[in-house]
Amino acid sequence: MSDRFECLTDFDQWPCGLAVMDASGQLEKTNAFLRQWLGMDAAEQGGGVRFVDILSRAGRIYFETHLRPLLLVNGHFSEVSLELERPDGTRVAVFMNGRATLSKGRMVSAHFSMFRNEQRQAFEHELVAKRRESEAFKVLVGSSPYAIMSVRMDGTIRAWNPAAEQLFGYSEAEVIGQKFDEILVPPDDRKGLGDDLRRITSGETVRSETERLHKDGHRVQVERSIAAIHDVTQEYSGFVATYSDISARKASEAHIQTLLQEVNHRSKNLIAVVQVIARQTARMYEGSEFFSAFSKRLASLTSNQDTLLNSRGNHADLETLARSQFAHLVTPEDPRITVSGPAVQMNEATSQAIGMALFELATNAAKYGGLSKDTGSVTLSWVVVPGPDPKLEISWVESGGPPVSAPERMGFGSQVTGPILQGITSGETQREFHPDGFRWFFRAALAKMTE
Amino acid sequence: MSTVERCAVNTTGSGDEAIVFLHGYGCDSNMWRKVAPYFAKDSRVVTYDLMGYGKSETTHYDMARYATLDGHADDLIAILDELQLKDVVAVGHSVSAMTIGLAATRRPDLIGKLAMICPSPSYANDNSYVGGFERSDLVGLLNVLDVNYLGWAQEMAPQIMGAADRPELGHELTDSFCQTDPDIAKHFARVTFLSDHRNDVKAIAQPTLVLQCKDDILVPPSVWTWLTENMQDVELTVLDATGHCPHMSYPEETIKVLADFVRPRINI
Repeated sequence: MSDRFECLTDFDQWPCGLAVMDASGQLEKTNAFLRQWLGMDAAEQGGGVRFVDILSRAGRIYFETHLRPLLLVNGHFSEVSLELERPDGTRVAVFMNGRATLSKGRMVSAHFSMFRNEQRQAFEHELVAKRRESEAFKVLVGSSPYAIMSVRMDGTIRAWNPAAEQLFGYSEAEVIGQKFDEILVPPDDRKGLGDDLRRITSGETVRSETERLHKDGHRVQVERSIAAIHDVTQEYSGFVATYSDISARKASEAHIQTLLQEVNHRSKNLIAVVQVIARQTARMYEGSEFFSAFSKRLASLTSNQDTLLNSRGNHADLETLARSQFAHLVTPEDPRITVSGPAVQMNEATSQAIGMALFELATNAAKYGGLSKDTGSVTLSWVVVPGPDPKLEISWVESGGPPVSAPERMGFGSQVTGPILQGITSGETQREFHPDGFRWFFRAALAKMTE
Repeated sequence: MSTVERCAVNTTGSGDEAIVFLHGYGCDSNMWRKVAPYFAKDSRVVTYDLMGYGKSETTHYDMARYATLDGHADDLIAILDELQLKDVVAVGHSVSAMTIGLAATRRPDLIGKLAMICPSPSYANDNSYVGGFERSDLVGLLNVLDVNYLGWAQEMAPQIMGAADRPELGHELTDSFCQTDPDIAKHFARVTFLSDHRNDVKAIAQPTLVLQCKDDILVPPSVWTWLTENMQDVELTVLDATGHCPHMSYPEETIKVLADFVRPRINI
């Protein structure tokens, strides 16, 4: 062997850094490349510099906590990425291999070889950054309130986040490897998928509102966003889809639509009622009297609307409604008026009709009946008659007023306390011109008025 | 699963006295292989791997539990309770010197004496306190761990991909000294190097030995001085040695100092 190969000795010619550390940790020998990297001259060789002193501070900790123990136990380490530090603080990135010479478990010396790896280390730092980025991305997907899934080119599901479990009912384990369309897309919607795929492969992000299937079979209204993903060769490799649950929004949109239609309907009704009031009032009154009576009747209508709105829905409380019909005539504490009965919640049509009727009765009583004199009175009361089909019975009894007699013709008051009210409630009304005062009775099935 | 099983506790020797050894940051209980057997001649010797290291059940590494050394102190307390040991000598290297301190203050019945090997209550400089490092140096260590993670990943790749036909890889991994999950290594590095335990060591009432190498890049003399000035019952021994791991580099000298502390010779 020795005839054919010479032993290498010219270490300074080697394109790598070489160093020897002695038993006490001092830098014993270095080659020219290492000294050049570190900006040391040959005279500095050895001179009281520890091996760890040529490492960055972080590298020193790593050496003492990982590499020295490795040398002592395994006798070597390899491919460790470290930074050397020059006295001026600038650094040189290297890969380092180390080998220890041990004697009776003690390190007699250690040899180190180093290759500069700036470019590779820059790449490694990039990889580390990518790794951190992908960790951050993983957290983002895992914690997102949106259902996110990744689908392979063949349509099988590759990833499925917790929000998707929530929205569609399937656990990740259940869907991984399953066909995306078979799991989620309603059968009648599957033909649209080809078009979606063409659009996303051309680089478009497809967004739309649609329906997807829940595990239990019901349809979930969702807003979706789909975009293609590409592999390392930039070839299409599948897509990612994001879904948000829009059923609450859809429900509220539908509610708004219903409300709009209802407002429209109610307005038309109200105008029709106002037309009736105007026509009937005009038969009885003229000039300034007409205006006063008409205004009061409109005020009663307004008060009905308030009662309806204040009950926060479309049901009104009978007592509140009844009391409000006297508001334009007398003070609320007027002792001549007695109102009593159990709580009854009436629907819109009924409360409007009953409100109008009571308004006419109250107005009539104030003008000609029980409320036209200080000694008079009005007792308004109602009961619910139980049974298989419970009935509401209202009675209006006046007394102490002037003598009464049946009117000659049917005015608006008679209309709203009679035929109109009967038509709306399918009930019965009865008028009685009793010697003590006017009386009015109403009876109808409770169910129709409250539902 | 008991803590004894989770932390791969190894007990040897017998005797009235018990000594428990805790390895420091970076490696595992193998670090004690040249020191612990000496004491097994006439004491019970307990060594184990800190959770996340060596043969411990790393699936139990809970980032929240081990976000401070208290998690590791809980483990030490649990192990001594499970083994029904009391009044032991606890030997902690590097960061584990702080762990045995936390456990000793909380359960003085379990730990009678403490031996701290190359301890530092805080690595970061703070006003007049010289821990030896700026915070940026310590954060830099996390970067070193990150780039060397790539090498680890290369070694681990067949393992992760499930090389069922090469079972020897599994042995290599568990046998490979100083190898651990990089995420755990980084997490524990943060706990080790960015924590400040100066108030905790002041609270230790038991007799404490501080064994220090004269030339330890991680622990400058200012730290030993601070410890001797601030601990209640402390005895400092400085070895004329280099490095942060005297129990590995200078086992005979380390044994001698430890033995003198565990069983003081009576001079007549």
